[in-house]
Amino acid sequence: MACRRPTPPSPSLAPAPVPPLEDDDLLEEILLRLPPQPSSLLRASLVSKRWRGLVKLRRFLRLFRARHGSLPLLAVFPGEVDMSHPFFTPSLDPPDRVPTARFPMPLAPLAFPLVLDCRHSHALVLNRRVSQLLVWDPVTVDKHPVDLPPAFKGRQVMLHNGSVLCAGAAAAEGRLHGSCNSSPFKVVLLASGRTHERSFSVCVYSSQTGAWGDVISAEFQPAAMEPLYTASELYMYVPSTLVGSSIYWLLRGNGDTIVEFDMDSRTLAVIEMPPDLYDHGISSSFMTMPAQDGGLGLILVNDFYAKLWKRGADCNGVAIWVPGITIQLDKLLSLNAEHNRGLLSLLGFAEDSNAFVVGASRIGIFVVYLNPLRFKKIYERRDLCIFHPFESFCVAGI
Amino acid sequence: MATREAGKKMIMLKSPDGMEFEVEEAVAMESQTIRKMIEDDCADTAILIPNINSKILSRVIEYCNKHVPTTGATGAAASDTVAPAALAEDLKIWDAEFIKVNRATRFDLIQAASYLNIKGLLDLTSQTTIDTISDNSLEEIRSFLSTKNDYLPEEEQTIRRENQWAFQ
Repeated sequence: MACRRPTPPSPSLAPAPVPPLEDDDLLEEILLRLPPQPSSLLRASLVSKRWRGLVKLRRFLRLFRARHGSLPLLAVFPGEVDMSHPFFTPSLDPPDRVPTARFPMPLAPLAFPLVLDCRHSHALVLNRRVSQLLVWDPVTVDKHPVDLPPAFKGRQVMLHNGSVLCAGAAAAEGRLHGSCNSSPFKVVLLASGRTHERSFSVCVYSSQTGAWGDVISAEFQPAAMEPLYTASELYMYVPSTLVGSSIYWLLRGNGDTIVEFDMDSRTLAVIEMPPDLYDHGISSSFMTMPAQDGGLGLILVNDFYAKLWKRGADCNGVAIWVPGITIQLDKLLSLNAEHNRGLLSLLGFAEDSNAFVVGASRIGIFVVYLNPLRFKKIYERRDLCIFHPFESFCVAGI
Repeated sequence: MATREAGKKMIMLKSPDGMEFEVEEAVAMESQTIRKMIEDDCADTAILIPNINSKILSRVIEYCNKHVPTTGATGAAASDTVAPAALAEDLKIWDAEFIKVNRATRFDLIQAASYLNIKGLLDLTSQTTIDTISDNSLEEIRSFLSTKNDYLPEEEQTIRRENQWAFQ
């Protein structure tokens, strides 16, 4: 076997008084260890044009993402526009506190915009005035209008929910997404028929083809889902969860149901709720979430506590809900008896940061991180609505 | 020359300035580059390590000696007699002392760690560099890393103005 000596190193390795790190590979190695906070890459990009050129490469951002594991939760966007509050609410402290003016609302209030989802640096906004979708990249400010699929238009179709994700997210690259500004994306919509409400339909839009794919339908026998809305009326929805190649939508109504769509096998399924979910009272609010060690999870908030479940299997391999931890939110958030009239509601979940948004109009709105357990107050007082997390490394046009 | 000493296989490493270092094969194999050469059966004679001078190579060997999983030449305790957490803490303290070197030496160590593919040493040297600069101003970073600012003053001002929040 021929011996292969190591390749001679690049010229910059030749003796020099003070090596100026002109080897891009070595500079990359060093810069990959910058902290993940949003000011970090921005400051590095101002050292020199060469540094800027390096940290804005998609390759670098992918490696940076892989090294740091999760993206910082920069801010939250409300689902419903409230003109009395800024659209963008930063959730970090200076120097990582991105000003609210950085991300103005992508649609005018007269469009009755509803933010349906925010994931992988893209937000999915529904223009309820004209029943059109808008995919918005808050960092690059790109706006990509998407008409509803023909089969989902009209008053006979009830739009339940929509999700946006990076086009490669369902592939082998797994969770290494979120730094993929300007990258291709997918939109996935869930609808059912007004007169045929047991039939669910999903349609997937790809920015690469600029077109909707075939409608995928399946019939189930869930409890009646009420109320149902056309796209122009839609306001009640719970943000979706992405786990692996599957999207989960929780549908609320007289009977709650989780609808699962596997983007690889292009199949639809329904998952029943945990049987003990309703033991927690009618004022509880709940959402799907990615379980910490993979798989689907569920989180419920009632009174002053949060409870988790994880989809697992019993000894016969049958899928069941496995109860998880309970978090005493009154202790964590230092709430006292005076607050007891403002019951906490679950308002959103940040998949990457493993954090949920919780609040009560009289107490304020908090982001609670699950690992390690800690919280950040983002509003003193505000009306409650769904909040979508914006998780990203990049916040500027570097 | 590969020899045997006290039952341990030894490897000879040569620096370009003519120094020779006899090290245990296990220690040398902390370097993935050298491991590959040994596994490809290319290491029956002294291995020349190009562009890494004897001063840096001796420091690299010192690092590998300390970090080799079993008892090293420095007499570090074997992992079966010391709790893993205590061993990790001991290594952390040792690393912190080891990396107290001047800037030029640290850069040489980064280059050596990259070329010899020693992940732990690359992590240590690169992270220390980032930690050193992270609290500094841009001017200090440029000066410390001998990096030329190729922005025009007005270009830099524009970016700073547009992103004031990050420079508070």
